[in-house]
Amino acid sequence: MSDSYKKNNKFEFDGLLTYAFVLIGLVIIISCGFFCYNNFLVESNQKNVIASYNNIVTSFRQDTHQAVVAITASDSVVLLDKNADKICKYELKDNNLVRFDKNDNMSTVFKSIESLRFSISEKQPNLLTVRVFPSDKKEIPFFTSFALRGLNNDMQ
Amino acid sequence: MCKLRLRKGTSLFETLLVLAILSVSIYPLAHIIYMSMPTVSHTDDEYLATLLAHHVMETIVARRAKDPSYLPSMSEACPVVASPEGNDKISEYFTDFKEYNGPVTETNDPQLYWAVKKFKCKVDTYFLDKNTFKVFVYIIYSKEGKDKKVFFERLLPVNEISSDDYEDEKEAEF
Repeated sequence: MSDSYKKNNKFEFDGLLTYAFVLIGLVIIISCGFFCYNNFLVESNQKNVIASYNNIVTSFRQDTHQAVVAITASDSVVLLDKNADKICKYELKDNNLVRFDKNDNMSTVFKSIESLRFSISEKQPNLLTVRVFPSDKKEIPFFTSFALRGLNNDMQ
Repeated sequence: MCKLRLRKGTSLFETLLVLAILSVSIYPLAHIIYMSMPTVSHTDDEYLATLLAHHVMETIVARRAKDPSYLPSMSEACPVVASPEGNDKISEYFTDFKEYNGPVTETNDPQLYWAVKKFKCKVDTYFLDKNTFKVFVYIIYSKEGKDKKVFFERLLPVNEISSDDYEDEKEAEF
């Protein structure tokens, strides 16, 4: 086989050393592909969680700008404006954090949640604390608070 | 033996050698493309620190909405959760959670406790001018032996404080 290739001047197999070099070349190609996948694609997937957390922050910041009262249960919260009209409702539904607007149109804010807690401190009734524990235990939990800014507009 | 010399045509070895070199060059190329992407890179620790700093700043905003004369005080770097020994003073912004009747501990919420145990909260304040107060909230953590910090800053209007009070505060600060 190698003689015919030598005649055509296309491929040359000169013993085991050539096979070894070929093998090393393939190993380098595969390892480079693996490193690129590991360093960039996996990190990109991790950022998806952070992007989803950004959705939660953005959504709550918008809603708490008009909110005056937050009525909390363990896994749901209703935000009311200064006229006591409903702004929206957040709740855990089928392991997803969903938002219902005032017309009860539903949108999903975060998927795959293990547990979710909303709380309001007795001393600070205008501060809504949100905790989200994602299903994937390797991911960081979401923990932050939002001031209800509906009454005091100079605190925007 | 493989003979490396100039000749017409390309051997399989040369083809693979070129491919191997090209594939090695993929890594820096991918890295350059990745670095040039506009999104800001966040590590998990950095993002969680940002959320904690957001919690502190929103707490200050909520306190001022309730009492417009409230101004946050400066504080040293304090842990955000209670240690089992209970020796360290916890940051005042993490001491009052209704469902725990106090701060987060290892027993009342282990998942959150271990996630935020490494973080400390520090608050710096000063008067920028007579009517403006500036607050810096730092969340500090260690990574690979180095101290890292995420901070939020905010200007607060000073409406309720008299000029005499302001001078007193100014002297006290220096």
